[in-house]
Amino acid sequence: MRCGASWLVCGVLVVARLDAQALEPRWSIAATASSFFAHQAIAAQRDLTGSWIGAGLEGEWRMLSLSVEGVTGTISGGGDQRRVRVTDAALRVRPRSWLTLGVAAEALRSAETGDTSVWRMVGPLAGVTLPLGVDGLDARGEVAFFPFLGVAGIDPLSRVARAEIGLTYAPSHWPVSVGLDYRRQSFSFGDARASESLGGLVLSVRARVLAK
Amino acid sequence: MNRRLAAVAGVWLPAVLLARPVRAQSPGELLVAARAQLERLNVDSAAALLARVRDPSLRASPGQRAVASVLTGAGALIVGQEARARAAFRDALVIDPLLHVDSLASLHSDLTRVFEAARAGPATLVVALPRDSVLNADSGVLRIGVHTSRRVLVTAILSSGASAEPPVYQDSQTVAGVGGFSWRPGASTPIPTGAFTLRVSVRDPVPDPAGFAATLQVERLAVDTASPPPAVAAADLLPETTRVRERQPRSLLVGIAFGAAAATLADMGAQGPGGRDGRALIVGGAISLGGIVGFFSGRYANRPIQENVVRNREVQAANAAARDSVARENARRRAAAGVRVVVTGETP
Repeated sequence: MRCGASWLVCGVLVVARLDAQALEPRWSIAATASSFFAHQAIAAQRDLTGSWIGAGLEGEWRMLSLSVEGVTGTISGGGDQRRVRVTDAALRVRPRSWLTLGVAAEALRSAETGDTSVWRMVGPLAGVTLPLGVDGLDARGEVAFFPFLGVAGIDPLSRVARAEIGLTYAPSHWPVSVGLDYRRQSFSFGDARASESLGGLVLSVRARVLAK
Repeated sequence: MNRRLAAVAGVWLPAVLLARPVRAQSPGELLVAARAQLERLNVDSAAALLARVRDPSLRASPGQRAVASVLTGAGALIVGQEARARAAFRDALVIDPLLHVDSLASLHSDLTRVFEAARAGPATLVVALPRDSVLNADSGVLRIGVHTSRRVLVTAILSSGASAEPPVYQDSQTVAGVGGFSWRPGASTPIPTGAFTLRVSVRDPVPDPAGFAATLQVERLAVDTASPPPAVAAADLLPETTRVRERQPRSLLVGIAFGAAAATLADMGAQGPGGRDGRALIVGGAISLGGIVGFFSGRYANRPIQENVVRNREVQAANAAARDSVARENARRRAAAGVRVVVTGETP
């Protein structure tokens, strides 16, 4: 898992360096606060819901950005309650103003009475951002596929994919933007267990400091 | 007292009354008188008269000063001083390299021989240069007259003085008596202006050849040029574009595509007993609504007004043609303007 993830990171950095050579020096730092109204479907057996809160930090230099986000909260349903913490990290490069490529790493920790599991995932991501014709309003979508998996526990995680689609509104001359996204993540297992999904509505507020 | 005064007056008054008035003699008359004294072999008297010819206050011409030097040499020959005679003859040749002494040969039998021996010595050179001349820029020629005492190779170089720069003009020719150079300023593009040094030198195996240097100030004469018409002001041009609001179908497509994708995202992965997550529709609807708003709100775009574009081009072209015409006319006037050449310093 580590070797494959390292190759992905190196590829992103090489692309970023090639693109950044012709650009003016520019960096920005952004902080994000978010609410995640989560819904987890465990096969066709149970629905768990909960409201989580999260925070994130993103640094951007020229076409390269590095972000770290985390959400945490409880999710419950059908007498079952879990304490969940999701930590995302992503290294992105923006070869075009509308295209984002990169590598994502995610750790999902789920704790319930007598059972704590941690899933670690690394894989490539691709994103698209397009304007919606209203000043500051953009539609965005990002897909990540995680072929590199690590599990602390007994779950034989075999395939994970994540998709997120939403819109952002960033008023001109304001350093703050708001976002509304729908995020969905699917987990497949190597044994006979049915797949699971984790998704929900994400509301976020983002403050960005831009410098040249 | 009166007797003494009468005695003094008696002595001086006849002397004053009888004395011949001293008439001021011209250099020509002095030369004639000096030659007459030499013919009578009165060398000292002739020398005194010739010394007066060389007096600057008499302003003798170069030819008269040259003849005076020849007569001085003739006097030296009469008293047997040939070396002094040759030096005097050289002084004469320095003043006038074309000088001939045939008419004075009767003064002494060796005069012609010694004079020609002096001519065979170091060559002398006189450069005749107009002090202030105005030349036509295209075809004007500055004549540089050269007189030499005998046949020698003469080189004329006109340069700016900076060793790194090539000469503006350079020419060589063999001159036997009378020769000259012609510098055409219009031959160089652009016409050189500024201070230049003209050096005329003699290439001669005999040591100590003559040379000449002068400083020439070359300048273009000012010309009266016409002012070009002003450029077309922005106020004189018609607006070439008009601002219109356009619908944005692309925004509608993006909104619908992303909205549909968000709405169907709830179908990804496992579905719980409660069915698909309806919140995906909220996000999908919001995105689609954003695209619809973007489509109808449109955007401002500049649409060209062809008639105004054509008209402005015609105005610009007419203005450019007028400016070009004035520029060409000014260039023609500048090219036709004369070149003034002034000799500001001279070193024979």
